[in-house]
Amino acid sequence: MNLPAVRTIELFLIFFFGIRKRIRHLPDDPCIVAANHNSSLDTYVLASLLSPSHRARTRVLAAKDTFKQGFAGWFARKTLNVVLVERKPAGHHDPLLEPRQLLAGGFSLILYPEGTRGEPGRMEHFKRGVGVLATAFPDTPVWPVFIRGVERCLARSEYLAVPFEIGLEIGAAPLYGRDFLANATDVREASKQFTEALETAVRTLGHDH
Amino acid sequence: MIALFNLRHYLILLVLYVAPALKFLRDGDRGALVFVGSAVGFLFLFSIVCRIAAIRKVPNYQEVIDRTKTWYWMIGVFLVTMAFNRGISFAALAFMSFSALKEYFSLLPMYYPDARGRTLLRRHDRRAILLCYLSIPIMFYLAYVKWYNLYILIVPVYIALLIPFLLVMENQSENFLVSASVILWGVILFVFLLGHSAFLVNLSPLLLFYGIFLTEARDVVVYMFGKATAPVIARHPDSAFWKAYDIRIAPQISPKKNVGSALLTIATIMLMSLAYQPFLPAFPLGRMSVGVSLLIGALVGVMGMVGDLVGSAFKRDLGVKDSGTVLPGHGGVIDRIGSLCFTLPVIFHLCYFLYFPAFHQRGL
Repeated sequence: MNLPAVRTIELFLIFFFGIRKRIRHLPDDPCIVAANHNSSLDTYVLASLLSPSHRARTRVLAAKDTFKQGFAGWFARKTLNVVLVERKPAGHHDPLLEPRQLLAGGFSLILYPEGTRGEPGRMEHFKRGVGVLATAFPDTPVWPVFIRGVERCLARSEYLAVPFEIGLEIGAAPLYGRDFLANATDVREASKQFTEALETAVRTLGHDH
Repeated sequence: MIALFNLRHYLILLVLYVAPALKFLRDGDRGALVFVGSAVGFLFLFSIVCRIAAIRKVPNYQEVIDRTKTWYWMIGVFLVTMAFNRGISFAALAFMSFSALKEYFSLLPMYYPDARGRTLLRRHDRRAILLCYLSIPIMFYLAYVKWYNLYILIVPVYIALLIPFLLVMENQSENFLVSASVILWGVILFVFLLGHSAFLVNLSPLLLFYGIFLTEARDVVVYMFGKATAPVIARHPDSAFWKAYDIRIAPQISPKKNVGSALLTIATIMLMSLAYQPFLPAFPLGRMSVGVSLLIGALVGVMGMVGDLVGSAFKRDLGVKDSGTVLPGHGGVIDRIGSLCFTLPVIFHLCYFLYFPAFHQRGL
């Protein structure tokens, strides 16, 4: 992440919107943060969960088709240093190659398993990619996070950001790929189960209040 | 002995209170010093209450402690923003108005229904809501340049016209009436009425201190009377006096508030107002009379109660206990300053009418 840029946007969000969360920062160990996705502001809100040193070692997964061009893509690449991932990979190469290398190199990842911002206030089903990464790195904690209220501030196809309070619900404990590998028959089954468990965890956080 | 703050916080608080006090001392502002002194006096009283509560382990004593700590911070920040620079004071008041309005809009269910199956805001209302936020800098700038005539008509005329204008441009008739009224009510309460705080500063900053002090004191006093009399009422179930005392004002809204405590509170606030009357400055048409100070005390007592009940009704309607969580022990911004929306305009208009010739100028 581009620390000064993200910090500036974060302070702007705290001052004019307000971010409510129960903990200050997540633990500094390399992790995967998986959240629901409803708004372009999501990543800047999630950044407030990471300490500055942790932010420097964190990358954000973004869809190649959306973020390769245009102003939004340029802005995200400059401020967040996003990793571009193909949503519909053609050919035989591994679309998650770069995220794997980053996790192996001790980086943290922010990702949105829904793969799209979708309709305001509605959570889509999670895509499998997060399960694949979690089972490939079974000891990396995956934190389920629910971002509340941000769809009111700036939803898809809106261009005016309107101040509303934003809430962050963080799971009491992270999910680990190893717990699913131990129970499942093969890796593919484990990653599927992991994705389902993560989706349930995020949904539960959203319905708690 | 419990420590309310750590050393660093003690030092910051010391600066927050001593710096404004020194400023008032240098200016020879006796009235402001009296307000600082009485605020600090009340805070010390609360601190002692906290310690007693902690030692006797009364239920929810942690909440009393949180509330007192937040009082220390709120009064300190208020004093520091009010003492030094008029621009900073107005910016702080504008931010207070913004925080309250943001909390209000954030509480209203939008996009999906709340627990009661109701949605109050629609996707199509976002522009009108943004307009409400944008009116805040305009309103407080007008107060800053003392342009009363324009200030007083911007919300009832221009915002009242622009909100429906923006809403009809969205081409959505469903729930139109709900959105239009809910948004307009927010601006009226938290921008227009609360913005009178800035005009009180224009009359005299002391008048704002006086208004806020009486309003917040009312909230505390009525709570204390309620707590203190509850066991007495319970002990005398057959006494006609305590039965009359315990007539509930609006049990559907706030089950515990009774007439007796409300009347006692009004009397107490009248006396407080009377006690501060000598320290208020001379206005262009003379000093505030004893009768008017008693009247203001009574008005604060009544309007503060109304504001309190409106806050309860509004929260109960939305099914929330507190309007927010930003002020530990108090709840949200609206929980704390909601009654100011009801008392400050009344104080402002009464003083402006009685003591300022500008009010009576005819023309056009």
